[in-house]
Amino acid sequence: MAVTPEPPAEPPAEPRIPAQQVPAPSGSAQPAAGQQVPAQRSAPADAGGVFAPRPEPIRGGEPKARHFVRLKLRILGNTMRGKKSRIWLFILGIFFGLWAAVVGLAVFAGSSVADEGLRPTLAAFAGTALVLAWVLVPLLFFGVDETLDPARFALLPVPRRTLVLGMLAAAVVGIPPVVTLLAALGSTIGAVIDGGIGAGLVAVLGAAVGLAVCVAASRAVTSAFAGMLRSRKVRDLAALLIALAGISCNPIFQLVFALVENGESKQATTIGGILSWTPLAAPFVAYVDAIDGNWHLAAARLAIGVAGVATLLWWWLRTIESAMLGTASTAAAKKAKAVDGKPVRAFLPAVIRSLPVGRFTGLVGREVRYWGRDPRRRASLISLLAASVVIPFAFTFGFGTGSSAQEQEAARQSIGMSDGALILSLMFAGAFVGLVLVNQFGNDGTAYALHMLTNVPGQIELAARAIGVGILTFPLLAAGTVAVSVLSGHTDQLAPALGIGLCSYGISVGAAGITSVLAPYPMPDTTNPFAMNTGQGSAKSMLSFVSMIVTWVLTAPLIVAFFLLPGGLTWTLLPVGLVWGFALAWVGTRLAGNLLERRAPEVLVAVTPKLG
Amino acid sequence: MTYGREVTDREPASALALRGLSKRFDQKVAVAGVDLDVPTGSFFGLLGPNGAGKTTSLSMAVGLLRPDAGHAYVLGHDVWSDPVEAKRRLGALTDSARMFDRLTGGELLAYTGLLRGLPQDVIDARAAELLDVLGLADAGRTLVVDYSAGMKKKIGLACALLHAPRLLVLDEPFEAVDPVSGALIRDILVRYVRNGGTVIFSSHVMEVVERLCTHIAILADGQIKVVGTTEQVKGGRELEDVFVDVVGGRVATGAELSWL
Repeated sequence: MAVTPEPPAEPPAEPRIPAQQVPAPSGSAQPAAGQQVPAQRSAPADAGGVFAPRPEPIRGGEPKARHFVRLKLRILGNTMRGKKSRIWLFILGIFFGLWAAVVGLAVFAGSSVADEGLRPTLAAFAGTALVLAWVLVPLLFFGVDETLDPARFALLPVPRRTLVLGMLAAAVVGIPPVVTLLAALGSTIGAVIDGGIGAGLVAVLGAAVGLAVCVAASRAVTSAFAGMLRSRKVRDLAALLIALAGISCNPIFQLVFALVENGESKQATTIGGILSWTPLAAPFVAYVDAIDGNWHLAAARLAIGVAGVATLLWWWLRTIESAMLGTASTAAAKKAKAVDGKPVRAFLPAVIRSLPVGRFTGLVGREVRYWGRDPRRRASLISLLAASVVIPFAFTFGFGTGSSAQEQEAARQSIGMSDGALILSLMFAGAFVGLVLVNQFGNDGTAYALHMLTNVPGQIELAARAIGVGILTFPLLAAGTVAVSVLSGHTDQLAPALGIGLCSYGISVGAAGITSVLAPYPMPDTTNPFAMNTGQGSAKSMLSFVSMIVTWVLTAPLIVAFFLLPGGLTWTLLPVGLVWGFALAWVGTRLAGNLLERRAPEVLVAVTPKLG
Repeated sequence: MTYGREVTDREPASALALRGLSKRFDQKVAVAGVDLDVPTGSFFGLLGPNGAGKTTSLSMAVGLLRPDAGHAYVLGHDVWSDPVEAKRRLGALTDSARMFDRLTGGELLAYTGLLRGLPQDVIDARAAELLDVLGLADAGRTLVVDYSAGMKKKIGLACALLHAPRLLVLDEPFEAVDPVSGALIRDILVRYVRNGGTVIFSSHVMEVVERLCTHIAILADGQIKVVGTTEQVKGGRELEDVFVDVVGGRVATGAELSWL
């Protein structure tokens, strides 16, 4: 990236800087008004020698957006250099990505070859779903890839426009954006078949603009949420917003199901029509107008998409700037003297103050405090709680809440999940606990050194962490299950649902314990709790999938039992699930503890940002 | 108030003994066989340029980084095969590792005390006293993450001192510390050594080492180049001259950097 110095095209205007206010030194005369700063005595001509400062900084070339892309590629390459395991994980990631791309391609291609009346609606919904996925998935599960942290550029003379375009261009480099683009290109098939090359080109353009909308939206929203989560006042509001966003996807699912089931639905067409005039879906629908020959409409929709990208980028930049400025002072320190001679009592959270004071209580207490104070943990805990309430709600009410009774009944029959919906949803919800624990050592980073210096045994360490998260999430999951089953009129399923939910909860805690010791990875040191490194992070975070699948497989026997058992006996799943879940949580924690006992130094190296 | 002190077995001559410690990262050899004896009751300075392997050596000595070869003994106990006994006698301040910095100073001390297995009343008394002496009591509910660099060093030192260890291993205790905090840390360490404790710390600030230390070792390229009492090492010269000689630096002649 050789930047050749070039002389400025025209002599730059003298920068106007207000004169410095010099406090008048007492006892000395006030300097003349026009010359507040006393002139420095000029050095003899030869005194400066070769080190004489130049009057003007040397001008380099202007930074370009493509430099950001190259920087990101170089970082990606460097993280994999000489690390076979990382290359394998990267290849695994590509395979996952290809699979997702094929599925997505099928969806978009399918919607593009649907019949005339259905095509715009399906395209609108597919596009909206894609953008929403880009916004919600980072918030709930993985975080955004912040290999290039915008704060790093704060000191470089990069114009703001270049910075934003460069960050956007760099954000498009990666597996998920490529997958998205491939999927969205699926609509080209239908466009070319029905509308010829011209419509096909519009479809390609639409896919590109759509991808930009996805990426920009995900950046802007995570960045804004990061800001909200930093301040304590709004963080509960943030939790509520995520929950509401999740629940609001629900009607969309219903409409899509109704549409696919019945072939058409007035509501769906209306909503699809509205969506296709918003940046969410407009770029994905443009080709439909092109097929019909309405070129100016197609252009208008693409323009809506571009305008949406511009707005999102502007918003993103604002939140970046406020984050860069206001990191230090957000946590207003209370000056009250809180020590008053009883630090131990002050340290232990109220929930566990009744337990005997000692090492284990201390560990649990620190975990509980950290779930509340560490922004990254707080974000994932909030997402977890939101998800574990949203998912049961979405599953139980989502299927078959059509407008009429027949529709409702039809939907239930066709999907055939009315009985199992609650049960299955709890299996999913319980397994999410594992997701927040899967990199628990990476979240703490090198602070774990203290536990090594004080000889905390591995099993005690893991058990304390499991109990810490349990204290916070267990009551809510149980209460949520009761609430959903009562509200949806499935009280007869309450016992088996609780059993299965708690079983999968326990198994996921055990599985995540093992994963967290075997594959910890460092987290970037930024203010954004949703940020993660691509090179190592996204590849290793796929292990959270593995641990989730393991959880589902081990919970599966109970699900099978639920469908096989006569209705009167399903209550037995409550004790069985509790015992099975608890047993596996115990086994997992024991195993992970033994592993940690042997691997503690390796875990510390793995979570150290420099060396990892 | 004798918690920690009572683990006084007959103290061996070396509070910390390193034998053939070595470590390589990928292709790069960071530490190539370090042998070192830190006499009991000494104030030991480990000098070395950046990248000499100071942090790596001390991390291996306190049991945070697994050495490729070699042993480390704290008052006769092998850190890697007998960690419980070794670490009870050892207090460490690491420069590279973060603390659990989302706790307040008092909470961090209480947590460290609980992990060390100290009784509640002992922790309360010592934590309050340490916060007071180190001038951190005014910080109140401020989280350690919002502390200044000097305050972070001081709370780290307080955590290392809480269980009254016999040996203190400090990685860069004076790095990024203002003169006032630096003087305070120095006073506390001097008093600790006078009461029979042993300190080894790494640094590249010559003045501090020259003023405080009874013994000095110079580490460069992953090996101990010079070791001995301060007088032996200096041999009548300025410590800085000895250091540059041993490490082998270069001096700017004035011909380069002409574009500046």
